[in-house]
Amino acid sequence: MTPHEKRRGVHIVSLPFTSLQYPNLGASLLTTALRGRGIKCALDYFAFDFATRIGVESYLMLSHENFYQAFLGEWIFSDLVFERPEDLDMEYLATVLPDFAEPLEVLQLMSLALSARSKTRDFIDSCAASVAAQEPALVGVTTSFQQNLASVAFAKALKLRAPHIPIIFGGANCEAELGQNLLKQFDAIDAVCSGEGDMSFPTFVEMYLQTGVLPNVAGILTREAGATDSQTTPGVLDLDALPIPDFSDFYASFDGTPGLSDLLQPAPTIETSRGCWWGAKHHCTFCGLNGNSMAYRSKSPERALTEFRHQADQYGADFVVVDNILDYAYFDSLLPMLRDDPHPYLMHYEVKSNLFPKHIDAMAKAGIRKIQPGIETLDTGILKLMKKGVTALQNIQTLKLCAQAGIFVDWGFIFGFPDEDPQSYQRMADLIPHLHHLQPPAAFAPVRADRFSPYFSRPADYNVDLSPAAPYRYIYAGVGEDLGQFSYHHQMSGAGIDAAHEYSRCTRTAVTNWIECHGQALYYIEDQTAQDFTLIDHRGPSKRRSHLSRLESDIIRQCSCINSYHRVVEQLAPDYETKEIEAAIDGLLEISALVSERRTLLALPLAGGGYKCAPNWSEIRARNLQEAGQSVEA
Amino acid sequence: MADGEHKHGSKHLSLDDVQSIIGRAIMDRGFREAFVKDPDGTLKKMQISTTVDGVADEKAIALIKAIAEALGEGNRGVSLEEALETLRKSYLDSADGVIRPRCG
Repeated sequence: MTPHEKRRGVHIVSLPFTSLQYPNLGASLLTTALRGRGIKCALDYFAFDFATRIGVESYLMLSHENFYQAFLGEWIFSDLVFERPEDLDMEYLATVLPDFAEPLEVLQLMSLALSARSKTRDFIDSCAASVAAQEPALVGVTTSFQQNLASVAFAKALKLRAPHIPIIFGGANCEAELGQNLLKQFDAIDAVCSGEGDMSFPTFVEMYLQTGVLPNVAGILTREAGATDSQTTPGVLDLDALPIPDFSDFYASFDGTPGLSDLLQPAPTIETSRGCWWGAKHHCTFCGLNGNSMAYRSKSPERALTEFRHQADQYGADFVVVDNILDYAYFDSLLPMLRDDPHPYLMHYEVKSNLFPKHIDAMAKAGIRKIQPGIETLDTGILKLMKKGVTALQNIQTLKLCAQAGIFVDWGFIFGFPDEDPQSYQRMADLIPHLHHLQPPAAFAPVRADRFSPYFSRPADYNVDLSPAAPYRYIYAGVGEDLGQFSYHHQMSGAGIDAAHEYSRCTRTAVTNWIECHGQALYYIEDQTAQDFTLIDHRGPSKRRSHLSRLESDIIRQCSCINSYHRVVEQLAPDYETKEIEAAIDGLLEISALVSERRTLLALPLAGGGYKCAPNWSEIRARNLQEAGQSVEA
Repeated sequence: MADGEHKHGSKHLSLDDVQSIIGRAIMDRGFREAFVKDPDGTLKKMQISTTVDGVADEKAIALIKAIAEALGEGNRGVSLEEALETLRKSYLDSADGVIRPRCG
């Protein structure tokens, strides 16, 4: 490495729209790795600058997950890359945006988006000027989800100012053929890091700084090496070998953004594993999240704990864990370690929905207070079609156990799966009013065929036709037949799902009611220590008290978790006649104190934990902080 | 004649006009009610046209219609300010802030 090149170093940039609340893990890992090799590396979170320009609340609204599928963040920057007539933008605002928001929200989003769009050109120019002024030897651009168009616009602007500085793209938007396409379509991009860049990117940078020539490194696509070569970097096998990421750049940007701390509390990101152990065996038919890196790898519990402690000491004990699925081995290793650690951890994890009370208890005690269990639907037949490996009753049990334990369940209701039974939607619409005390889904949306998912890779197997999601045509305007090379999300048709919006309407209405009444709808056992229970049922508009007999109370106890009909009868047989038990079960089913599926039963009223309905996130958070305070005082 | 300007002094609807209309409708109740009642008439008063060479521009008309309908919703219930506040609270309460496609 020449002293001159080493002094100039590398500049990594992260452009809108990305989270203002959580640091970019990938870019932070790469920055830390380069610094560890003695290479000067700056990491600029330009998203904060854009948020300041358009207003922080506007930024949060435009990037809210409820509207993610409208790709507003991409649309706002897209005319810098693809010039087009205004009438195409009018069509987007009038016909696409309303599919993803309520009328008032549409109005608000239109106003905010048009205002934000008028500021993009100056913003991108200032980003390019700022980077060019520092004369880095090489610039890395991280792009995931809705960062693609701002990133390409930045690359073009920087290339005009400093054509001699190589620009390399990386991140989820560069996975496999998506990365090949970016390199093919945009001359401003010199190289693309496809897949995990932990090893390949630092090696690439080091070799470039030594030679001044873009090197040929596995996993990095360059024009010289052949942009169409299907090179994907080998995944990191030993996650313990990764550095603990330095988030100081993110926190400096956060702290330097006026008004932001009044709205958001920043939290470090952390990964304890990569890939998906379930997906490696049974790939969920719609999931494309892992790209070509499905193989599951996890950090040793000791290494993971060291990282949790290190980041908690620096930035506080609230975390977002970015894993796609929790390592089940952690229930007996990492989770007890986190439980016994003095830091008051509070974190989010993605899990599989086949959870038992011991798992929920272990998570709650470890500070895992928000989970994303991939519930998706409440029909076992549809869950089977998507290869979820759980039943509807298991999903309901997860919602119930989490409500009792004070764990927030983040989930979305998806409909329109190939070959699903339309009748199932009426059954779910009938079921949902009995679940009003549990956590409702955040949204009710059609299933997508994401790139790298089985639906995308093998549409013929499911008898579906694919087309890029509606917003792409307006964002990547003018690319014509190449549109499919840019798209990650796709809509499906055929296989009986073309009428899905119509036949699922009853469930949509039921879900909307569920969301609206959440927080007021209660269902719980008044005194769990009593021998004969009293149920307080306020799931509907009227409040009902039900005094249960000893037998009915015993059945509720036996069905606190999923239990088979046969086993309940067997367990209570010494004290009661079989006919009595069967009649009591029928009575409890009648008042929806129990739900049943294929001769299995689950009691619905909440018991223990002090919650009368599924708590919201702010309630959970407040209680966690209170308990942490008490623990410190003790 | 400037680009987009019509013979009689009116100019074709632009995205800047759309932004102005929404902004004014949010702030000015009288304008909002007039726009909801008669979008075409209000545009004419503003010397804004939704035709090109005498032919209706369907995309511009659809957009104006969508705005008028949304403003009509606003007149019936929650104010825009309240809607923003509700969404902001909902973001803080339930979203994990990670911008990504939801798979579950």
